[in-house]
Amino acid sequence: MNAAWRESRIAHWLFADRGPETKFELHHRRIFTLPTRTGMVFLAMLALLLIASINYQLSLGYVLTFMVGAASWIGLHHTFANLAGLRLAASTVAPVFAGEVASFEFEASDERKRARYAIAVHGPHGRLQFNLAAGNHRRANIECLAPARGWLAAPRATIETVFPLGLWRAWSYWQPAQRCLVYPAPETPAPPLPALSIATGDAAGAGAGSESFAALRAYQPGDSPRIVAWKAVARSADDVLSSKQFEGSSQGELWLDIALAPPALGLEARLSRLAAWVLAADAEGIDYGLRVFAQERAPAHGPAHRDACLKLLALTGIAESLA
Amino acid sequence: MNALRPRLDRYVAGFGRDGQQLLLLLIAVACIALPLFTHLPAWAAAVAATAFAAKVWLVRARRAVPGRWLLTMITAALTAATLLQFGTLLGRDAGVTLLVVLLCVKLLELRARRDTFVVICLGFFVALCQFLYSQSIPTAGLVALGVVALLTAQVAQNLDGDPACDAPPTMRVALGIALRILVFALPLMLALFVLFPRATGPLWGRPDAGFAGTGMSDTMAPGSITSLAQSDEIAFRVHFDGAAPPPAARYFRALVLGSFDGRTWRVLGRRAAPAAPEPKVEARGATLTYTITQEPQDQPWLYLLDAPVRAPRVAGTRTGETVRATPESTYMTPLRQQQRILVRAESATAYRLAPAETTATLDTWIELPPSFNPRTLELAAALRRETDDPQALLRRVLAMFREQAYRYTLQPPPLGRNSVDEFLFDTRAGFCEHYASAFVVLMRALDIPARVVAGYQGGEINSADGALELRQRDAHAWAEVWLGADAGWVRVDPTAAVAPERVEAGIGRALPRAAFAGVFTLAPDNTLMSAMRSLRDRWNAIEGAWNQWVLQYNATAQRSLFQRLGFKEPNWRNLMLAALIAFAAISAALAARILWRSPRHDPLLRSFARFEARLARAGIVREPHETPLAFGARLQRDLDKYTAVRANRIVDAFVALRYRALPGAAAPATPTPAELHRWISEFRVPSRS
Repeated sequence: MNAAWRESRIAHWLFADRGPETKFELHHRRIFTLPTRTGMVFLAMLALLLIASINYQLSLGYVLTFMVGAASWIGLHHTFANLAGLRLAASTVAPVFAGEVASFEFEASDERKRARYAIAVHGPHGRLQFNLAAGNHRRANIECLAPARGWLAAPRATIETVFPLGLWRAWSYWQPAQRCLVYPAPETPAPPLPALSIATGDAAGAGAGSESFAALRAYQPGDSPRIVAWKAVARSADDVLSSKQFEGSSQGELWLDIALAPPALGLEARLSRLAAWVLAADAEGIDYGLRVFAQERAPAHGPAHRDACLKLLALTGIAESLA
Repeated sequence: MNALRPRLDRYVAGFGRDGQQLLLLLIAVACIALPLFTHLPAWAAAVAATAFAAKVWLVRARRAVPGRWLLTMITAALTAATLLQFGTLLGRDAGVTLLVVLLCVKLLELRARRDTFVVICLGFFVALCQFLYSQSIPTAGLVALGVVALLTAQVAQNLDGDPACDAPPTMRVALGIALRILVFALPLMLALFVLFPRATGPLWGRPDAGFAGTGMSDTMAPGSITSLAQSDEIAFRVHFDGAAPPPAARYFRALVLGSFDGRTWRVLGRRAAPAAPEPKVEARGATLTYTITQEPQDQPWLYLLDAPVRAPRVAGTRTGETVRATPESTYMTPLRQQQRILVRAESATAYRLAPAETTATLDTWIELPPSFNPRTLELAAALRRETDDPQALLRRVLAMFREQAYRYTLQPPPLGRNSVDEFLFDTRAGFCEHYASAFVVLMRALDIPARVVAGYQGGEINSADGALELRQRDAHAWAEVWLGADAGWVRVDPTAAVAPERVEAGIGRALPRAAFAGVFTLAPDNTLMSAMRSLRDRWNAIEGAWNQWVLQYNATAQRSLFQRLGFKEPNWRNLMLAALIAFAAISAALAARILWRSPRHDPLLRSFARFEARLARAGIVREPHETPLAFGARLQRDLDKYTAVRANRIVDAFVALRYRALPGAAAPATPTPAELHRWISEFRVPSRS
């Protein structure tokens, strides 16, 4: 048997790897406790105190040594109890762009009505330390750098504490079952939007274009603030919102097609350019459609459409569900 | 005082979060080091105080710690000062001073969390050093406070939460946690204290404890026992197995002095053969067995009731339990007694002491310096002309003391070269040493072998635990006279002839002490004195129990305890095993207690359920689909105005507490759960008429 297999078996047994979990309650089989380095120094100090008490025959020296030694032993139980019964539940994760830091939120709540102090949670990036009052709950997050687009599985978190005396460390591992959707990073500097594609058909005039101002119409919820006629609103007596209606000089829809980006850039760069276009179009508040190879999204506008487009871009070539 | 509190709070707030933790640590170190200041040289105490104040200022003003070169130089200078003061860096006083000095330098250097831990360890060492000087109950109390402070500081280091939304750790929380830990640790400590095997001797060398105290010296001159009469310190405590002997028989013999140089009595220098360990005493009545707890005295004397019928057994000396015997049947420890010891002995109050003395030995007890005290010699010659019988002569001398105007006083006039002459014929006033000295000189002038005996006489029975307590002021000197082979050495106390109340009722009654420069006389049967005496007796009894059960719990005591409990072979292996088993069992029980926390139902829900039950009894039931707020709106319709207001107050508080409570986000007007519980318990629906 090769060493890697043996190590993975040992790690599985030792750390009771049960795979990702959404909910996690710390109990004795999942918590490890070992003395810290200061704990070893403390033990050496206790040994010296004991030797001095024996040599000088100080009864109260025995009392002092045993009291402090017993206190550090009791501290072990308190350190363990500080983690035991803690419940962690994974929350939703907001999508991020590649290169940004993904923040995996979770909620820590107290199952056992004990005030908990100085619980430290850390992932690969940074460390968070918090207190938890008895019976309370709080949100915290683990951060992780998102290198590439697609699904980012949550990193393994270490939950540890050295409360109360700093002599023992109790820790546990948790693999949250969250995953973060990572959009491709938009290309910088942002390229200009492509020209409208000529659409055939008989839709004339009344469609929404983007060229010249035609008339005012009533405000529809979802209209971007860019096309709200603010001056008209300011002039109106009772603050009725109205939007500008543009008419395109050419009958066309904005289609963001991956074919518009040169193939020589490579897939990732093309997706980055498309992402930049999606963001720019969304900022303008105009309708846009997305076509990536075989998949496409009909033209629309709004945050939901933007997220759907970005998700399509992120998962191009990647399976939707993770095994 | 009211103005002081906000100023103090502002001052403490100025330290900042980390600074407050450091301040707590500094205060803890001060607590534990302060009682040691009385034992340090003055410059060391001043350095410690300065370092403490400097560090407090440095932390508050957010200045950088002193540089490494400066600290090294300070360390070197202080070490050199210690070396200069004591001549060595070893030994108790030098070691303790060096430790305190190093602790001060480390305090100045405090910067990172790692350093605070070193300071805490040094603090525990300082705590142990207190016990090198004293292990009394007050010292134990002070060190306990210091240990609590140190553990509080240590806990406070590990309470940090999220700086963004958690409140900074308060000292009260840290103190609560530290006290909980110590309370749980107490049973473990007791088990280990009883079971941990004690060593029979030191691990290395002979560590000197540097004891200094009062006690009986090995010479007696006019004034030497008088100086002890001022001290109220307990010299030793006696627990008799049966009843205590009457006051007239409470003579505790320590040493015998036989060599007089005209003023001072000394122990006889020449020794004949090595003494046999058993005393040369024939008991002539029942014997008394007793245990004496002797306080440290920097002398080797053992105080035994007149007269011991066998060699005493001593427990608690570092070098074992051997005693040395003298030819006069007194006993000593091999080394100066610098630790409290327990002596077990048996004596007879009716006895014959050394009836088989040889003439050569007796000749040593007759010698007098030739050119001193001529009038005494003349008196002796005159008495000798009248009779030859030692008994008759003895009676004549005692009659002289009794009938002539001799005074027993603590402040006699000073004596010159012929001290006995001046005392017997001129001043006629003195303390016990004057009477004993003069008596023995007179006896020797009459050719009767006589010697001075020093020890303690009298004492008081402690009303709290029945022990006979002898204090330094009960020190006494009397005489022994050889009255022939039938009687042996007979005890004669000339003080009894002059001031019999001294022997019968103790020195408190014979010479009542004056307080406030002689304005008041503290007679023993004064009501104030009796009340104070019973308090003092209780305290002495507590201290006696503390000394015996805690401080004297050494190898012998442990072995005898376990043998009494029925264990046949309490060697260190069995004791260690028992200690481990007890430790495991107790810590398992404590662990169960610490880890047990039942998930209880939310107390808010329980209270609200009580509220709903009260309303249900009045006929108003909350529908399952009704939210609390909707229920509250319905109550407003259905109840009278006054009750509805109170009901809505409860509902609003319940909703605010249960559904909107997030850490740090509670609105300031939200009532506390305790208030809600109180409102609910006071809520009543008035009965509909």
